[in-house]
Amino acid sequence: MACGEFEVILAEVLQRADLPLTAQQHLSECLECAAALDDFEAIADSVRHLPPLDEPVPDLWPQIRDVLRREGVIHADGRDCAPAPKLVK
Amino acid sequence: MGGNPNLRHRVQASTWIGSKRLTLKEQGADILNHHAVATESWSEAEAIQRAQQGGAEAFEFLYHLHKRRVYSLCLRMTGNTAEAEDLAQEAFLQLFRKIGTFRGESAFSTWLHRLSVNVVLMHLRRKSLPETPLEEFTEPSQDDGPRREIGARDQTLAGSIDRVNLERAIERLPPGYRTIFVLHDMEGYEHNEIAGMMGCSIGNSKSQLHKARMKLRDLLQLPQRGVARAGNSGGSEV
Repeated sequence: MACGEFEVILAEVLQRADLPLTAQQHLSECLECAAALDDFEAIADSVRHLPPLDEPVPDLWPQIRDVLRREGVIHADGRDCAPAPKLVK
Repeated sequence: MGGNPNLRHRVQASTWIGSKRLTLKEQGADILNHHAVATESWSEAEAIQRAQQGGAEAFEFLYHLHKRRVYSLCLRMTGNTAEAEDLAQEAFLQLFRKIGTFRGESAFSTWLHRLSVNVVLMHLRRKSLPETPLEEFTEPSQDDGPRREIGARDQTLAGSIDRVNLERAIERLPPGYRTIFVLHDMEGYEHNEIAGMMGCSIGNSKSQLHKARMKLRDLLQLPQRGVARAGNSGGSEV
């Protein structure tokens, strides 16, 4: 297997164990591709654990609320019409 | 984004009045003027039910519950705070306009996430398509970063990626690369889904993802290896 073919497979699987046999064989012969996979796995693992970024600006909600009120999606007086929810104990 | 539909988000709805987080003392004073009940905790399901009936506080509750994740998604995909805020606003507007149709077949957070991704992708397509073809939009220029030397075995990145560098590197990815990387490697979309959403071929999605990963790998290694690699710029990529 050539490096180009390996790259195509790599775009679909990230876990080394999920690679087809021919691709695993290529890894044992090609240090470059093996190093790339190591790094991709490390990056993928890190990005999956990134926390959410900062909050949006504080006035975003009032802007959204005003649009929804104008459109009648929420009540203009801010009053709830639904029955009170159950208390969570 | 995922999310456990059974998870009860015990957020004190009444601690948020407008966009200001109130102290307990302020809450007590504010209750007289607002319809919030200080001791009340809502689950997400209860808030959805109330929002479907037009309850103003329920919309605000849901907004505060999900704002960071929606905004983060928009910011990671666009790399621009102003655009991310506009898109987060649009995502929530669309969500609240459609909330009456939510039947609970999937998790609310999944529904909101998909809707937010669609809002961002529509924006990116409107922004890029008239001006630049996808390939040009995503291909980095020759001077975009150092090249990898054939045969050179880089030190792997495992265990050496810090969050700040990673966020910065993602932000520095060319826009098309960033979109596909965020969708596939961060948000877990499949190539066929990405191709459908972005209006490109599956092969194109795979190819762009590979280039995005390679670029990200280079960006993450720059601080440690920039000097050593400066003389190797004539090499070709893996």
